[in-house]
Amino acid sequence: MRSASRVRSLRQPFFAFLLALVVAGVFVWLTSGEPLFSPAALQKPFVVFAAMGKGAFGGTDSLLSTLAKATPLLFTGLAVAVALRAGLFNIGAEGQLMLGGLAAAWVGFALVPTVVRPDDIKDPARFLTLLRDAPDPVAQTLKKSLYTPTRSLLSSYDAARPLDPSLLATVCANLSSVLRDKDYAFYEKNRFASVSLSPELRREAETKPTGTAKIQLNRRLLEAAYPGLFAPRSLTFVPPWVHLPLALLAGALGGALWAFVPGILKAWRGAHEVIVTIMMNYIAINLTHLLLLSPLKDPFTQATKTPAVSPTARLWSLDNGTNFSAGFFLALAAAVAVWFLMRRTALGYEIRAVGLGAEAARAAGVPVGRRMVNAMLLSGALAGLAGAVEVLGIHGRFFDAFSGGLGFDSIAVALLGNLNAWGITLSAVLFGGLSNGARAMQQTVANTPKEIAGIVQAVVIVAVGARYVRRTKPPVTPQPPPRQETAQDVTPVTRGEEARP
Amino acid sequence: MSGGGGVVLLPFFVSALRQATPLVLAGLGGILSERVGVVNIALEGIMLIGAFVGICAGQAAGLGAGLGAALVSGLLIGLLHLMLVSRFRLNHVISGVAINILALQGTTYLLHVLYDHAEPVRTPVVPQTLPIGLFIGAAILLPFVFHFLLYRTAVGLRLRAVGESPESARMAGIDPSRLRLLGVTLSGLLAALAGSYLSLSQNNRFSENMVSGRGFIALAAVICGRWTPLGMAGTALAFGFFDSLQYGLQGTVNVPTDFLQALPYVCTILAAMLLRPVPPAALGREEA
Repeated sequence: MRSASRVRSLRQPFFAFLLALVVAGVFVWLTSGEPLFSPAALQKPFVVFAAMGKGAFGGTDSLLSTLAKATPLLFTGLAVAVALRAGLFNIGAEGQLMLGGLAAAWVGFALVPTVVRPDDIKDPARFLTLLRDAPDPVAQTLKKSLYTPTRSLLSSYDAARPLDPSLLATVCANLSSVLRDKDYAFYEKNRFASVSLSPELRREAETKPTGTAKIQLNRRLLEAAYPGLFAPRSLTFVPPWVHLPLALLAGALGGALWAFVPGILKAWRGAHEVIVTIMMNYIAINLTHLLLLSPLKDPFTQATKTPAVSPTARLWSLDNGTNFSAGFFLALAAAVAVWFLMRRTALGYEIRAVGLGAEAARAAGVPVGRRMVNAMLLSGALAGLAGAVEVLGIHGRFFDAFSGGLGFDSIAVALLGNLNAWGITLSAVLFGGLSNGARAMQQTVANTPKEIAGIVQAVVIVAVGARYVRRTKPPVTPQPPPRQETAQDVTPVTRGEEARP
Repeated sequence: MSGGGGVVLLPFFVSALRQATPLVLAGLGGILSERVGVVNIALEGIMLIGAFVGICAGQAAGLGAGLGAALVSGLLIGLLHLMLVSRFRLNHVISGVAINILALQGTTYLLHVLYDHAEPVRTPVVPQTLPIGLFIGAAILLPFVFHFLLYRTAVGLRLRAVGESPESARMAGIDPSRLRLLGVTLSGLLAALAGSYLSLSQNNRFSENMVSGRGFIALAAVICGRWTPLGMAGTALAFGFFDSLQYGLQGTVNVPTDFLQALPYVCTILAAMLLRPVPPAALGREEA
């Protein structure tokens, strides 16, 4: 019996998606630019869908890209579904995602050891002069990689005058940033040819390590290049099994915090969460921009972005352009967790009760307001995780104009997935494929923008939720023919008071 | 920018009217729809569609035709929203979301297909624009007109009754579905009017996502203005003022820009928190 109802519950979403493809197909046909009944025009929808299918699922790389695209959709789809189970529309997944991403980035880059500290340097004057004049290859490469304003600050250094501590601090900070940049190649055979390195050190450098080993190596190379200039120091990193969960937790907390506002406003003041969450999305854009301009900005680049996240906080990812990372598995785990929470715990039960009928739930003793807030907090946490995973798994930092349109996409995912964890997982992969496929199709099929995927999405939303009801209209009480009404007959009604029963 | 006094702020007031006009027009649409009990968060999408249709038709057959076509398109989309909500029992919010997605993706798609990638390449511009005074005048007058219509005429009373309690309205001989039809299609028309202002008057072109959130700010104005035409218009004017202030300050200090940009949204949340604005009682309710 259970499997039969599960199959039945797949019916409407399945047909909804089919209908959406048909509508989109008709749209492609009508806008093909060719005469309407020519073979080219009639074939075009099929060409487009074939290209999209190939782009989405045809080949390992495509499949991995699709799963990578599905990852944030799965998180945010779960977020929307959890809130919707409590009867709340969370359209704010986008803002919660941004706050979560920013928070995760901050924890990721803040807990990192400084590679070069001012008090490491035994002879600051010699150090600054060395960098300013760059007499050897090592100093030259370091100087070249400095941020331009720092470099001009350095060029005005005069050893005769008393040392400016802020100059030293800036140069050290810039140098630290350079030496922990994962794309910066400090060691090069020729560059370090004339530097006396111990055999183990040279061997280790030749193996070209990555991650924290590379940063550690850079520090030792620096010390070796200028013996006596730096007090030897071994860098201590926060271990990954602490740093990464911490960063993810920060992401979840950031999102939850952002969702708390609409939740509490709904519970206390009855404010319609649709409007509040939409507002919070826009405020999030401005808030993150503001934070990116000043406190959280990477000071050694012109772009508005945070410093790079420490390697100890990065999620494993495939470095082949597909953006696939361990985030996908985290999303699956989240789906399992949501299923468990909603179906197997008292909290989930109460949340669903609130969604099915708040007044009845209240009569049964469920703390309705508190459960609404709980649902929003969970929802925000999931969306925040989506942002954290984007930062820690793909980009390695947070920057302006981070996500785009994800808030509404997640609604489509949640609705097509019938608000349950497994459906949403399938739905997220489907929409991820749609998005990925459309992008690939745009490259190959002429004159067909990827926005066709959005049209499919919109029709899906409508088709999933629509129930055609052949309804007889309730009767309108017949009234005697009215005498000529004049405006005086209508007294101004104070809105709301009269009509309420 | 130094010095002081109202004189310095005068150009901001003028600019505020220009910025507030689409908000007021769309806001009136929002009020009409919500007053008959239909949540309409698709204002943004309808504005975008109106802007696009306006440019397309305006290029083909002149500015008048452009405006007319835009209004018709708004009317039709409003009708679509109503149909989805009443005939297909679709949740009001979901319907609005779907229309918004369709509007953005659809207009971007058509922009590329009909213009950017057409052969030969065309640009979605019109050589002349509709006089901006027309729209600003409408934005100033219509709130008073609708205030009168809503509160001092029989039609307005019936409209409001439907939004407060359709069952009572039915018992009093009022047909809610007819009034919903009136309210929601007019809502679409006004939103499309606001959109056509953007593409045919304030600017002379259509660009991708050119409404950029104004539909939601209009919704914010409706809420802060407590679903009354005059309250909404006043709020919209204030939002327009801060919007133009933000443009003026751009380039000088960076921090206020972000604050001013976020102001309408923060205001709405504060209003929701402090004022407890009460929507029409039957808003969003499924038909009895």
